[in-house]
Amino acid sequence: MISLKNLTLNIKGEYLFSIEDYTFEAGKKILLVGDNGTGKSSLMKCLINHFPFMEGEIISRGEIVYQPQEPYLFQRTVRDNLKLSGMTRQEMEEGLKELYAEDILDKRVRVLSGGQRQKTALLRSISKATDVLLLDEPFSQMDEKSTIVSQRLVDQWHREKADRVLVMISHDVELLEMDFHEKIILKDRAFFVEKLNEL
Amino acid sequence: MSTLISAVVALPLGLALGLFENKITRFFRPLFTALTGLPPVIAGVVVFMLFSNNGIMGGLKWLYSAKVIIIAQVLIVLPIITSQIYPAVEPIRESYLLNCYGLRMKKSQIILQLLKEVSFSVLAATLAGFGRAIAEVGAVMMVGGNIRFKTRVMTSAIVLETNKGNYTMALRLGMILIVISLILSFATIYAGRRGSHD
Repeated sequence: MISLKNLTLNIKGEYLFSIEDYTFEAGKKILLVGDNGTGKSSLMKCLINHFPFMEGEIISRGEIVYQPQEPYLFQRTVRDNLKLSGMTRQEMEEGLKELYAEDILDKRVRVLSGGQRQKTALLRSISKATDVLLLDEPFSQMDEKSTIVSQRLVDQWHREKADRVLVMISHDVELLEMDFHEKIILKDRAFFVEKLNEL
Repeated sequence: MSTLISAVVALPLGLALGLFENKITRFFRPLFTALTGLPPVIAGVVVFMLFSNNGIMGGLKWLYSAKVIIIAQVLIVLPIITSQIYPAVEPIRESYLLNCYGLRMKKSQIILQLLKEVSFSVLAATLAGFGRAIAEVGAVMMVGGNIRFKTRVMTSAIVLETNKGNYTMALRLGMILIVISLILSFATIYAGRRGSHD
């Protein structure tokens, strides 16, 4: 659960938007949409306290894991990255198999394609996340088949515990086969919430 | 020894200069880069003045010993290593830190992992520093003299043999130095390439 109170994002004099009172409620899957530059990624950075240009109050319960739009993969192999998240060998192999990427486990990260990088980062984030998972365009470089299996994996993570929160930014909303509970729209320097499905 | 001391100091310094963006780092980054061009003889003069009998460290009686040679070499090598470490950290800083915070890594993990990320650049910087240290003669002779079995190094031995007219020996020593330098240069280039590819 994350509560935002009187939050204002203002980058060096350029006002982005403000949120009077909003709570990312436990158990919800929330989609965050908006045009480029509306502040979607900035909002996510606020939630992990990595955005200096904000005012207001953020109260969070539970650990938040955030995967940026451009995931940074650590040296050197996919295995090293997954190991860093505390995954066992069996979990790594099973996770990658689910994503149709079992052959990349011992590959160096520098030779991976964009989609393979995103799969590695997604698996790393999911295995690390216990309460709240923030994903910034996690499937943007994946092909359709990979996008579908990745969504299943994210859904599966969300279902494992009743109070888990998932917040995801995506531009390809039509590709998403996930049933989100709410849609946050950032538009014209304002913040709107649209209810989609009941929890 | 001077390279080892320089590397130990330069490593945290270089990482800090690359990781943090503030007035202090903005001041020190160009300073360290400028100091890479410091004429070794200037380092020699400074160390000589500090450790000569009338200098503030004169009481230690370290002049014309291996210790002052190391100090002079550290002054020359430290900026070289430092100024090669922070440019390796700077370009990955934002993305690296954002991902580390996103994954809720501890500070100690962030630093340790960063060392792995730039390990080849650190190796390349250290090799470059070592290359500079073994090729140094001006500052070394100024503060250490050229005392057999005490402060004579390869370069000062070459100077001595040349002054004695023993050109064959000077050239032989020079060849050894060239071979060492070439090996180091290739190792530095290789490490640098690995660093930029990985």
